[in-house]
Amino acid sequence: MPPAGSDQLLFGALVAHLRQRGFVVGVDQYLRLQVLLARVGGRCTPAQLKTLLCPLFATSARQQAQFYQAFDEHFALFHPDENGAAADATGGGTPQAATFKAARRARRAWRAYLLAALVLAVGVALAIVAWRRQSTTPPSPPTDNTAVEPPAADAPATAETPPELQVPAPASSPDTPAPPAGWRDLIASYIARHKLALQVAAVAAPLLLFLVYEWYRFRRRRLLLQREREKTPPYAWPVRVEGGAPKLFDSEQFYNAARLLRRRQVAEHFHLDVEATIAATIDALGFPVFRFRPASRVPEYIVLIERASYRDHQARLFDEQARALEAEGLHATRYFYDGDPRVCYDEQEGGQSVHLFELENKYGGHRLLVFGSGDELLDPVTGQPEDWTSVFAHWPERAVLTPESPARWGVREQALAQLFLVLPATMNSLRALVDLFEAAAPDPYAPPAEQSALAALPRLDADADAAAQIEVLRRTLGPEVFQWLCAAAVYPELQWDLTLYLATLDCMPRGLLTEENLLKLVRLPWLRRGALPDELRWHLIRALEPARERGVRAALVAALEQHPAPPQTFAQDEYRLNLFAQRWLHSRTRKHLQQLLRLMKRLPRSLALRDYTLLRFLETAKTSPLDFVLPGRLRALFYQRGLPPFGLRTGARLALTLALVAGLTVALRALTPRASDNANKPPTEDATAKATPTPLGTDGGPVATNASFESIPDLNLLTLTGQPYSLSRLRGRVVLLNFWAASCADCVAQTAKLNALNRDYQARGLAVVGVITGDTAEALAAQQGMKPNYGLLRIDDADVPAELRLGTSRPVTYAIDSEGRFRQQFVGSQDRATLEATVQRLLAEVPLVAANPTPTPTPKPTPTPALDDPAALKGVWGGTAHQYNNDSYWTVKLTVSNGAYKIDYPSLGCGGYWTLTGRRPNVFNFKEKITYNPPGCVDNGTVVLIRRGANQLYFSFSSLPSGQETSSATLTRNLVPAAPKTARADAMTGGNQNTAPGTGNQNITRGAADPASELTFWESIRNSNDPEDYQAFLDKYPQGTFAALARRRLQTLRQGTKTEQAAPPSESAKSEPLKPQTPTVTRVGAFSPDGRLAASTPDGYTVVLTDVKSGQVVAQDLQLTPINTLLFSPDGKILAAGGANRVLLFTVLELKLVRRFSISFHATSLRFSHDGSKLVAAGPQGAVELNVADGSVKPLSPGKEKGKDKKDLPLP
Amino acid sequence: MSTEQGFSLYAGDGRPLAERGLSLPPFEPTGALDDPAGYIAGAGLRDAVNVALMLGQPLLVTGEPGTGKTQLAASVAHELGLPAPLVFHAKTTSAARDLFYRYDALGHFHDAHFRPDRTDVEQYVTYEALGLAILLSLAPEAADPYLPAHLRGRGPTRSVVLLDEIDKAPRDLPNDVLNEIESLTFTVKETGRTFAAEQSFRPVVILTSNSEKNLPDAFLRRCVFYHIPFPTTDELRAIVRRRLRLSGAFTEEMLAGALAHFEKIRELALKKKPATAELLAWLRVLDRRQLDVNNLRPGEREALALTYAVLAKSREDRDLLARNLSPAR
Repeated sequence: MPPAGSDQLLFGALVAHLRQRGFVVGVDQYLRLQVLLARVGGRCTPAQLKTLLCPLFATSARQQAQFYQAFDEHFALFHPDENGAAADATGGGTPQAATFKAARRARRAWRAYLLAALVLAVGVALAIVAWRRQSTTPPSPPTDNTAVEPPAADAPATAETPPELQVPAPASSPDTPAPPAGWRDLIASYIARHKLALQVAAVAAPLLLFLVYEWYRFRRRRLLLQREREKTPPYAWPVRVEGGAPKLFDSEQFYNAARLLRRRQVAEHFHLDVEATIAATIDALGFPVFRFRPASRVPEYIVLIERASYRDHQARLFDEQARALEAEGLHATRYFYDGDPRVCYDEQEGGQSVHLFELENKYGGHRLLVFGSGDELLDPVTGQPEDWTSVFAHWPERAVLTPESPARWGVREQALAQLFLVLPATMNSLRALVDLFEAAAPDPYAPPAEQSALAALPRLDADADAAAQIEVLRRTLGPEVFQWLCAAAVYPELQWDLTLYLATLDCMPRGLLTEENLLKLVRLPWLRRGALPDELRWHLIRALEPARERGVRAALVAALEQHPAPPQTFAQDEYRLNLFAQRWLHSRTRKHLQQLLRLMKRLPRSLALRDYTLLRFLETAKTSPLDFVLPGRLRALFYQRGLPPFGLRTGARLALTLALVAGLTVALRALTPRASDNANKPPTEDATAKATPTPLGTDGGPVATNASFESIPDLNLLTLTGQPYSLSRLRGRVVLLNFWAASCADCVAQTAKLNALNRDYQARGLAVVGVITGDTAEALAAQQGMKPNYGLLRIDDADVPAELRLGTSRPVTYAIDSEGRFRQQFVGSQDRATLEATVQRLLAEVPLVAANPTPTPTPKPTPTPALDDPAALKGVWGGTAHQYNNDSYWTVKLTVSNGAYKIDYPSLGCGGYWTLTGRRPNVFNFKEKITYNPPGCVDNGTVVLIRRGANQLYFSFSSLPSGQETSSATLTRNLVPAAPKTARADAMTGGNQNTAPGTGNQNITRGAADPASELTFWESIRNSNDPEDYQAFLDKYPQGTFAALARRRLQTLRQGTKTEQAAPPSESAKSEPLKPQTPTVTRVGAFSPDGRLAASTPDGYTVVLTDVKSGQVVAQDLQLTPINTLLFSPDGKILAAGGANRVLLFTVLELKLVRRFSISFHATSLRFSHDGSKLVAAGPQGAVELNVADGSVKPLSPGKEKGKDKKDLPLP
Repeated sequence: MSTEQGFSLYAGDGRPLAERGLSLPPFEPTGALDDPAGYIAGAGLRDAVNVALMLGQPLLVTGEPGTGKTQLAASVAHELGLPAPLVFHAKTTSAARDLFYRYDALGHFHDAHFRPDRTDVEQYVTYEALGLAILLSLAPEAADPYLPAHLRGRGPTRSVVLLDEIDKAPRDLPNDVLNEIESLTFTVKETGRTFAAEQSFRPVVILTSNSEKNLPDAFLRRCVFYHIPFPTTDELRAIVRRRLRLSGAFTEEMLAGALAHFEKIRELALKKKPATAELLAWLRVLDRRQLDVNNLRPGEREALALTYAVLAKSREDRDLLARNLSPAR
């Protein structure tokens, strides 16, 4: 015996499941089941049980298959994991079950993703925390490391790190921080080497993942949408009526008919009737007389029902009739046909189609009843029976029961009568049927006299105007049936059960459910088609009495509520829509309306429009001004199920992704600075030494990654005498900061290279600083042998920031750019080329002003004043020069190689060479020697080249006697000069004669007035308070448009400027054509009070101090912003330069910047006070008084400024 | 050559065998087609039989013709060690009484006139399958007087009763015999004797139906039901191995090819699909002719088309098969 309790329960459930699937399980079957289980149960697997139990329940091949399926399903419920696959394999899984599974899986997957993301985030956070803690306490025990080790992250890093890098830290130096060994180092070096890739990956990978996932979701949603759009009737949920259908066939007529139809039929063969024979024999006095009697048999029927649609009410009525007769013991087999009876459908066998000929084989001796009009049996043209109708001859007893009212019978019925017994489809006809069959020769065509059963219906065109049809219907159906029809119209679908149920409602007229009424109703074309058009429904519902409508709607709501659609199905949408719509239409409360509206937002358009009432409702619903207008709202609602580009979830995911990117970036940056310095490189290996200083930002620019260097705290550096020294004092120079210790052999080797670098690049702005780590005394001793030509500082070991991660066995060098940012790190001994490349790169970035020889505070033994390296000029330079005196242009080509300077003036056809006569940082002085085509060029000039950038030079030519600049150009490296555009002809024709006299150069031929350049010039000076500006203008354009104006301004200004002398016109009167980026730049100039020096701004930026007599450039300084005005102090010791937002004071001769005033406007005019202690700077936007001694700035009101100006002007 | 000769004994040209140098060979038993020992039942059928045995209920077997419904009874009898099943073939004129006995009214009438010495009504009663089975379940002394000679002394024993093609019987018959089959009791109206089967020797009743007509529900519910599905290819091969002793020349490959061909034929829209029985007969023909379906030699295509006569049961089907064969060229 199996454990009775559980098994009985189990199989009780199975039986219930089977019943649910449509099996008829009686008590006897249940008992047999228990007997069987008692005998075999518990000893066999479910698969065996399946075949064991099946014979008890199945009664046909189809049921057998159904049982197998039901069994699998049932046990799949109990053991989803064991039998799920089996159920799926047999196709047992319903679509609903599949949907459930998918949803469950999706939920589970989402949880898993969330968990994984959390674990990842926590892991990363832990790792970072561990890193931070590790870095503050470097010598941590290795057990700690493993404790915080993220399990997944370190494994690949370890694997990818070359083993040779895992050199153990030297144990011999306990005073230096021991580099923490193990995975952290390896990760660090790995990160250092692949920083760029990691950065890209950190940003790209999450974004990529996000995009891929969004794409995947987009595609899935599209699939879902497709599926949603393809909703078909099987997904609909029918309204079901509680309590089953009302008993339709309960009349005496029906039972009479059933009895008559059951009446036994005479069979084809005869039996010997023994009793009759004996009686006859006796009667014949012993002479055998045989009596036979025909065998009788039960009559069997085959019923063909015409069915126009799935919801054909008429077919359903006939079907119900046949079923009722079957229930009364009649053997009837029902088949349906749609139009053409040659193909029939068997509902019991799942709607399989059967050909009429097959039916003829199977059911040959049956009585054939055809419920239908019989139209298809007749040839549409001749009206005669079709040829194939001969098949009916196999059924000797056959009849057509037509729903056509006998009043309308005509040709069709006559034609049918040739083949069939034609009767109206009423119960009376059924009752009369058997008698007619048994009558020897029934009248072929006899319309029954009794016609009331099938009242004549008007021939309604299903598509005609609805309003017109209403009246016809009301008249022909009669008021009660019409009300019934109206009630049936309330629900958007016509359903047989519902239609019957509505007739039984209390609010409806009594006694609706009669055969007569039914036959009236079901023959209507819409009930045959199974759908009422919305227009007609609208009119019908309006024709329904209001009390009845309420009653009907209440009944609908109740029916809908009693049979909810299964959750998570497609049918649920429609079900809920119907329910809410009915509720709202039943009692129009705000609550129901809101429910409906809320639901509407989530439903696809096709579904929402099923019920005309919703359509009307939406058309008339009030719109609030706060709402979108209705059609727009409707559109929005419907498109919510569409493909919104950005939803809440997507937003959340995007935020998560960005957070992840940010987190990864921060983590990388937190890991990197220490990561790169601790590579534990064997100092002797050149290859690895070369590999180490891979630039961190390969593009060389001040990229964001350098920020990590900035995070290094200011180093507590000390001079050898113990004074604190700040690296900020070296701001403006490129610094190589070399940490070294006496104990390290490589450091000594490094020193020689640093010496060489310092020697070569110091003049260009490099400062090499050695920092002694470890034992200072020892280092100082060693230093004697190393002989560094650069300054030395020291640092206490305790002050070495952990980020630097210095060792004692190798030198560590940092390159710091002129802005004070740590740019690169070199670990171990480096060859000169590596260092030099970095130095050159950083020097090239230096703004030109940075080369200003600020006092170098490094306590270094400075050798001779360094000259800039002419090697930096190497290459071919080209450009177009502008000669001021005749306003001509010519090309310049300079070829520099190994100290030789070859100069060509291609457009002039002459050339020669230069000799270097002096050099200062970024400034080179040359003497020019023309060697060919001397007449074309002026010999004996001096040239000043000023470096403006890595590939740009300012070229200034001065002819010797005066030393005045006569022409200038901007040269660009590797630029092949093109022929000058405008001055080509000039250079060819007048150029020669103009430059030849140019040798004298004092008499400058003033060019003809060019209105455009004059205007430009005037615009640049019109606001100036400097009389020189106007003088320069008048010099250049004596007959110009603005000349009179300029003279008047000049006169006004000159009243107090006797000491001033007009600057050489050639210097100031020039609108720079080669500098289009600063079109307002002007050249200004000033003479010193003693007249020996002249200050000028040849390019508007560079302040050049020239010896007036010799023409030699004494000093020059390049500024970043244009200089508007220059002025010598009364004592001639200070040169003031005014420009944008600033005023600069330089010492005369050295041009050393001594003070820098920041002002809020552009200074265009400067005046020194009498004693030279104060300076007034003025511009169009304001004026200030500047104190030369203490650097204070005092604003002057515009009114006062004028007064002050006037007061100061008379000063000598 | 011998098979070829053996196959075309009848030339159809009027020449006797002797003229062709042949002689009529003795009939060669064509393997045990009906041998119950060779029957193979699927798991479902096996379980259904066991359930029917256990519950003592009639087993109703449906299935396509030729799937071995009828032979099931022989197989069950064979395996249970019982004598050959008692068979009743239902006919359209069968009545419920016919399952148990027949009364020869005419013979009795005749004898009453001409042989007044024979008055025993019992002589005119012939017991049919179910009646015999009930009698056999009784003790010999109670049953022997009524049993035919060859069955006397057998009982009490269980027996297998096959009610073949029950669906052919009139609609009334299943309903009429419901109670008798259930209680296994019948009364001979002519003699007034009632026989009731000894429950411990309850006969095993197997009914077959071609499922052409639906049987009444009440009847179905009192039966253990099983529908024999058409066997799969593997099952077919097993059946063929068990049933046919194919000649060695008919290789496994040829068999596989023939089975595949057969499956294809079953997929055609034939009016009557060939079933296992047809397959066996067809394979035997193929074996005789040594036809390799997959590898036809020239001229054998026509021979193959001829063999379809075994498979097709109507001219339309045969034409369809022939048409289906030719495009395969």
